[in-house]
Amino acid sequence: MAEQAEQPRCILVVDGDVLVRHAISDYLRSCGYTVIEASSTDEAGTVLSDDSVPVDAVLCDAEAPGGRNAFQLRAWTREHRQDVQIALAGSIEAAATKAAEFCEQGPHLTRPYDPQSVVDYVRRLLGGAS
Amino acid sequence: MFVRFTTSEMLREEGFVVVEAVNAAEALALISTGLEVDIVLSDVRMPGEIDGVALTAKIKTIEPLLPVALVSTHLPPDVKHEADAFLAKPFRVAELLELVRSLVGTEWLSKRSSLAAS
Repeated sequence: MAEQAEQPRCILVVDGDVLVRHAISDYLRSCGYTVIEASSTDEAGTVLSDDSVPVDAVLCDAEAPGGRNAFQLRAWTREHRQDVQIALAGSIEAAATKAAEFCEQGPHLTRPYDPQSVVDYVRRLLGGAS
Repeated sequence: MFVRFTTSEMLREEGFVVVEAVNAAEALALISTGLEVDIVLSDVRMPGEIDGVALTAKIKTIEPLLPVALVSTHLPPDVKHEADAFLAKPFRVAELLELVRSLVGTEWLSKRSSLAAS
């Protein structure tokens, strides 16, 4: 029987700022993860409430918008989805660092580039948007 | 959001780089950064104040030659829009890919060059 390829693990990225969310998600995809993007804790809750969605970890902005704050989302996740690891990040730098840590244990076992590049990329996008 | 995710994943599996936007405001924010976008796929009904038809009009103001395809379960025939294509939901993967390829392929690029020249 042919050996099945290992499924990329899945990370839910929660951030209300599309530029940050895009950069972090892109970075994690480069490491081989499947990434689900949520713009609020409400969207994240919809994903996490569905047991059929195989989320392994959540990377959530500490100030993500939504009906419940990021800390409440973390508490809810710990109670209802004990199989899911959840990390909060309070800044772009912290999110990029956490994403890099995920990458070191991720499907490709390597960082695609330095997390500072993600931060620089977001700053460039923000500069372009202004 | 599950539709957005599955549609994006379909396209990624075919080798496209996909940038996701939750609503029209996010799409416009991404485009305004100067990200190189080859095509915009937008639902007609979206959260927020701007729907897909209005988003298309705004994109055509900023980037007249950027192809936009609207996707929806229903688009009334009397609704005027500036999109380059419309795909009715539910759609098959092959239909989506054909649409995207037709709007980023050589035929479109040639049409786009003549539009730019005129």
